Amino acid sequence: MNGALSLTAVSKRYGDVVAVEGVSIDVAGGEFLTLLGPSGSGKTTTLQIVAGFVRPDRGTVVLDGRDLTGVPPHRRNIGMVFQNYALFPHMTVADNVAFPLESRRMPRAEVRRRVGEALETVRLGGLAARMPRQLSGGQQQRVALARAVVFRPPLLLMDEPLGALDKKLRERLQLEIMEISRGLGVTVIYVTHDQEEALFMSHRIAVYHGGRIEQLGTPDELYERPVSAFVAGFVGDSNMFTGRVDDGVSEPVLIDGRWPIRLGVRRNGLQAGARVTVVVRPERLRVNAPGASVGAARAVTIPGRVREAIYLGSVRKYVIDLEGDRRVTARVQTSDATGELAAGAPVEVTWDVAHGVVVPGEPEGGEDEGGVRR
Amino acid sequence: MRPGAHPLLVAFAAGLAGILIGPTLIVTVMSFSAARLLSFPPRGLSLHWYANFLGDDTWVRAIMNSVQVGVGAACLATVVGSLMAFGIVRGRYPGRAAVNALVLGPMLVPSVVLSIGLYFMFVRLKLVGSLPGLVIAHACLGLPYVVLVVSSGLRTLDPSLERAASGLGAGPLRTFFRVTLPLTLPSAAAGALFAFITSWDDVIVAFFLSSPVTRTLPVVMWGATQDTTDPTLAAVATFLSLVTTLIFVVFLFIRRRDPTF
Repeated sequence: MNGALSLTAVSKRYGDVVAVEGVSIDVAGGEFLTLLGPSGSGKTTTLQIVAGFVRPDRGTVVLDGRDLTGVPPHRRNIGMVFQNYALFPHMTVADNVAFPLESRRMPRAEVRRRVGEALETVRLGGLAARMPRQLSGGQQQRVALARAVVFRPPLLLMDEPLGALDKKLRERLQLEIMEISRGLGVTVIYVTHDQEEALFMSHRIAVYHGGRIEQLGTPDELYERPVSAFVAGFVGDSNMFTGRVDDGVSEPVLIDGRWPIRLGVRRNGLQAGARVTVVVRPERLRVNAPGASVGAARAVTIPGRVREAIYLGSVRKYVIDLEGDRRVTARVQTSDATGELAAGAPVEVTWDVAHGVVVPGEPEGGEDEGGVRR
Repeated sequence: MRPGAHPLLVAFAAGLAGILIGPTLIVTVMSFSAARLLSFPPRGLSLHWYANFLGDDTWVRAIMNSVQVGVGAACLATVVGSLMAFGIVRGRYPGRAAVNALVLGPMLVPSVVLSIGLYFMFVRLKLVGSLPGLVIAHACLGLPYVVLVVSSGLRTLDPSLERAASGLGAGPLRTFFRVTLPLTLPSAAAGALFAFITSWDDVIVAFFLSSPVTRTLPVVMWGATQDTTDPTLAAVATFLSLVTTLIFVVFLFIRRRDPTF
């Protein structure tokens, strides 16, 4: 058992609607990969193609060197947890978990031993004789997980498994799923539209947009080096400034008729006149009293005025109106030396040009006002 | 009277209940009467008419016929109707809507029309007057109910359950017998009960297709109303409604036991 999965140029259309277009992913054995994206972006279709419930129009699915593309679901040996758990309502918890083993014609004694083990793993040993409807949502979720791993598949697919649970329980189960899957060494492909969940759980994340993978990378790559305004907007909070590239006096700057923003790239890096967006994460902004900004050579500094100051415990959040009708959000550690700034206070917002990520194009929804995108 | 219930509403509800339950109650009460003629209110109490009913070969044979035809028709309608429901809900072929409409036909066509048609068909097939003929005819009557109930059961069956089964390694046959069938069984059982009651209550089709030895209970009752006036008829009628009521109670019981249904 290894669990190395390769999707190569997988496409699926429903009539004129593109569900998935040219998706290629290589997942290493034991890796936790999340497919992240808004609903209808193709992440669930990808998962169903891997499971075998949907047949791709083009492309191949290969698991541990075996081409699965034409193999029916029941011969793929892949574990799956469904969004609504899909527990069999007419079977007890133990029978549900035994189902995949019985389908594999395992001897009865072995089945009982494995079912007991699997239920212990998810800490449901005492509930083996219950019916699914007698369990809470979190318990049902655990049964579904036990059932999906009891036959030790090399690959586990999870389709928004925590979508129906409240936040506290979701966080606890995220941790449990991570521990269990890592303990078993199983490769996991996890579908969610919750970016925090994706950042927290995954080794790597594939961000879906319109049926394609927009970016595939580690959580910090996606966060620190988004390749598009869409990824920047979908993963984490960000301030975005959209405009045209101008060659500037000494280096390229962003021009949108307001305060020019240094792009921190070499002159030949960007075509003058190209439309680009600069992404700056809220915690990368520093907020200082006017004139107090250290004159760092590689910084962008824009004057503004605090519009709202929000205390959030460990951080303070400032919504700041910059000169030139832009608005940004900054997140400052409460322990930071600057202390609290009141609403209405004049300030300078500054950031290291290295923290402004330049991406082509503009955020969806047209002209950006230089505000916070989520 | 609960506060808030308007006297007019109460009167309306009581009137409605009277119309719905009254006739059955009157017949039931009459069946225990000591009088020699059907009359209401009864004079005196007696089980004489029940003894009369159960001691008479004609009635007992009619009961046996009705039970045999009812059970046979319910089984046939359930098996065929469930398969049809699968074809209608799961099938992907042109003309599915037409098949659905055709299956519901016996529910829409007047029984007399159906009976006459069946009679001439059965004459050729030498089925008139036989129990198998009656079973087939009554299965036709019950079929639409089975198809309706089972197909609605299938439509509410969560498709991810069957996907889960196949994802967990069960082939199509195993998925059907371990997941789809058990979860459809309560609907099929309800359909079977409806089919049985349809057969048990039918007088028109059975009137056309039965012979003196294969006459069902309602047909014999119909004959008896023509030439007798003693309360035996009321006793038979009470028995008939009792069976129907019992079946309905069983139906409700299944429904309460199984929330997936």
